[in-house]
Amino acid sequence: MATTKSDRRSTAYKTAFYVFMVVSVIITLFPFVWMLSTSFKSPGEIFTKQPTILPQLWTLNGYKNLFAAVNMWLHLCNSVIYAVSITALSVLFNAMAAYAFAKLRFPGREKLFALLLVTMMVPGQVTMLPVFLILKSLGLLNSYAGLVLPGSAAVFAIFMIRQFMMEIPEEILEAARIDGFSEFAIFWRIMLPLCRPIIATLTVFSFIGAWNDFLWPLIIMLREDKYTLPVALASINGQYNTDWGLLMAGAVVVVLPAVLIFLMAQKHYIKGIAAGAVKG
Amino acid sequence: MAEVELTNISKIFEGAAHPVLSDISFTVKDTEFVSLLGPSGCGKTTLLRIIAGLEEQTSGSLIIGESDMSRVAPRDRDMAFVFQNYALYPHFSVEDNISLGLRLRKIEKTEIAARVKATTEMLGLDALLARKPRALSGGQRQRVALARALVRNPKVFLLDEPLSNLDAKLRDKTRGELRMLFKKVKGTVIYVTHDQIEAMTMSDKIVILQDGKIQQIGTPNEIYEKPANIFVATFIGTPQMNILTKKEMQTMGYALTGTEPSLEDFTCGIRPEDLEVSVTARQGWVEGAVDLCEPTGALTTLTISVPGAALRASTTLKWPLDQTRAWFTFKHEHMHFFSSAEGGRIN
Repeated sequence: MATTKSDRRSTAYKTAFYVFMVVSVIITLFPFVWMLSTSFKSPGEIFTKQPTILPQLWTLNGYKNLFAAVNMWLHLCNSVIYAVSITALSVLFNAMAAYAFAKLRFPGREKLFALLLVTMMVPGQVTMLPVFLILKSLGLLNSYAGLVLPGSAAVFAIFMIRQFMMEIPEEILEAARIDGFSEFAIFWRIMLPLCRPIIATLTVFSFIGAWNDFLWPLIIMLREDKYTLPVALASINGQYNTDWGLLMAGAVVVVLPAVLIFLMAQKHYIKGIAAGAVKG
Repeated sequence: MAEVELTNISKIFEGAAHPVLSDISFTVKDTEFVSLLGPSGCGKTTLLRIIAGLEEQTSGSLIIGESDMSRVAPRDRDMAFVFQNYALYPHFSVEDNISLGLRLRKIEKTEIAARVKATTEMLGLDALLARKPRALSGGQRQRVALARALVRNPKVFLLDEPLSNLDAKLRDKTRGELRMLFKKVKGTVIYVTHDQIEAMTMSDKIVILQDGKIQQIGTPNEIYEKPANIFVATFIGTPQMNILTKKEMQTMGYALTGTEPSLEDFTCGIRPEDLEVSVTARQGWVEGAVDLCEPTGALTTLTISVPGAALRASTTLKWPLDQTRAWFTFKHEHMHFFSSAEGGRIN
């Protein structure tokens, strides 16, 4: 079959597109591959003159040393408590606030919402110290409550969910009111399920944010047994030398849950971002 | 089932200059089918929402059966509402959509099952129970919305233009079905529409609204035969009623017969089918030019221009298309007279 000019052009376009995508994937994946492979290398091999992509000699010493150096299970447990509770609480509180701002009629609603948005302009670093002092005077330092509570509502998330909820037709809520739903049942059984894409997106954001968070757990949790994974990992970074194999093994352990969560929520996540883009 | 009584219902939205509804009073009898009819923006949907409790009236009272429901929450009014866009719950199956209202009212499971079965069979939905609303056609969604209302067996059914999202053919078919359905379940119905055909064909009683005020309440025939004012006269009936002032009648050469009101000025309304037309000149008839001839089969509509006015006439005559002159007169007993100043009916 003869190929026309436009066929050839679209083939060239496709080829260029795929080359571009493959290069992008390599650039994005390489650090991950390097981290993974380094975690299985022996200390000698990490510093060879000719770097190897895959370890010539696979070893689990990095992981063994990691689990010997710090109480990994304890810190993993701390991280899970922190990330899961902050995600659960923030999704619930943000969605409830968003519902009120999107669908309930009360005086001063728009003004209150504007005020809330204004707080987004204040950077976290500015409020960190005052919040620390408040928590200290409440006696919440070194506690999970002190770690979780300040982050259990987020203005940006309230904004995102509110925008999404505003697109849900009022009549569905009115039908529910006539059908006999209570106001909380409308929120719980109608609004939340309909907001699944945006909730999934924010769950991923919130979980990964908390999981990777370093600064806040570092300043709130002063005792070593309360460290979360990133803090514990940083603490084994020795003053005079760094055991790269051990550190990379630690990084793998930290990254793995985040990647898993992302993959699991990916389907809803992408829908949520797209919906947010159009509706926000 | 129950009687609904509205007394002096008014509604002013916050910050608005004019009331959306003023002094609305009427009664819907038990098992009666009442339409609220009016052009868009006349307040008919707001009135329905007030009856449902979705809006609060500024003043006035609403009594359903024996109880004052003026300030009662929607779910405690025992009414069902069918929305224009159906408002089905998108994430629930058809069966859940229909049965949720009953489940929330803690009705026994066996009874719920029996009622859902009876309702869905009546509406031909039994094969669709497991589907989600997005997998249904417009007509099917409309029937699910109806089923959700019917299954509750409420005191009053409120319907907000339920047919307006259907195509013309389906709308015609559904209109008759709806009427029979509500007769069968002996429902008290308040039905909002802007479509006069729907209101005329379905209702026991029509309430005509304009600018938030009741213009007339009556049976379809009363409203057609004795419109209370010029607005009702021109709003009901297609083609529209001809409206002529006394002066225009004299200018066109119509000889007053003495049966007209003895007033300085009045306005006369005459329906197109109440003009007698002829292709030949007749004694005492007015002559005019045929501007347009629209045959529709059984009836032919003529647009006839005379000095100072243009009239429309519907006739069963097979009007010759090349006939450009027409002679016409009015059937006296079908002439409507209105006050030119206030627009109210005189005769």
